Amino acid sequence: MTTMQSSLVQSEYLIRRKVFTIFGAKFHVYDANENLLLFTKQKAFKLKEDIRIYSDETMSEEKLVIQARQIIDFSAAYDVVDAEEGRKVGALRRKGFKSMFRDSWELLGPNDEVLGKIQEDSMTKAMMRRFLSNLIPQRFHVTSSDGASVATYRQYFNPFIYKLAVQLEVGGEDAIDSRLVLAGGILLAAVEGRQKG
Amino acid sequence: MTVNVDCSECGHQFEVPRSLKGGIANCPACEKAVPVAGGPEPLFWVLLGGAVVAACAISGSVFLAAGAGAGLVTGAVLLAVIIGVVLLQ
Repeated sequence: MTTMQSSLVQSEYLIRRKVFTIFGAKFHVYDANENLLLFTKQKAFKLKEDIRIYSDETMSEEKLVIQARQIIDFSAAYDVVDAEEGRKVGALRRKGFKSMFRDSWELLGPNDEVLGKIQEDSMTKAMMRRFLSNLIPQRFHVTSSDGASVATYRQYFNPFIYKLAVQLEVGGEDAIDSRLVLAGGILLAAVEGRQKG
Repeated sequence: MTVNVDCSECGHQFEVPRSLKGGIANCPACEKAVPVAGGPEPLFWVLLGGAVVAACAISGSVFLAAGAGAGLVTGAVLLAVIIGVVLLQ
């Protein structure tokens, strides 16, 4: 078994998406000390999502790949591959109908076995965000299939820059691969961000 | 239900759950991530057809309201956008 890349085994990440980009979107991922760990550029007009995550803005060293299975899918599934190992680490599946009211995702293992879920904090807040104001920052909880808390995604209030903090619980990576949790954060920023403009 | 996969790395043949269609699976022999062939995507083609019909309707309206030249230009631009989006996939 290969050793996991250090940039992918942090307990804290900060994902930053520039809101005002003309085509596509740019994401920077920082560690707890605000050092740049990862960078990705989301292509515009791409219906089948294919997000390539690099070590920096030169985009020479690929770290993670997040790829949608279908062009259009109500409950879209995204495979996550560790580019250096060349192995799939798992997948994330958006629960289409449920997410209309409260964002819900499933975290899957390499063979689509359910490992856990990502869920928006509360139904009341989720409904307020959808129907009253999307200025209420989002918060998501990651739990394993046995109900243990694995991580939290917390959006900062900033109308100009989308910032999402990822905090992994101690021992959380034993239940769910930290790369999958990080990919979940990037997808939340990319996919959910795209839906909300 | 399963789907057959031929590993593009080592040539090993294996089966994966149907839900992985169009996605990625790890080869059990060489452990590398390999693509799983996807099937047709009817919803995509339905939406594409709808976009073409809408483009024709819009350019037809422009044709009637502003003349043949404007209608043809609108139609050409809308179809070029649709073709561009499809080619980007």
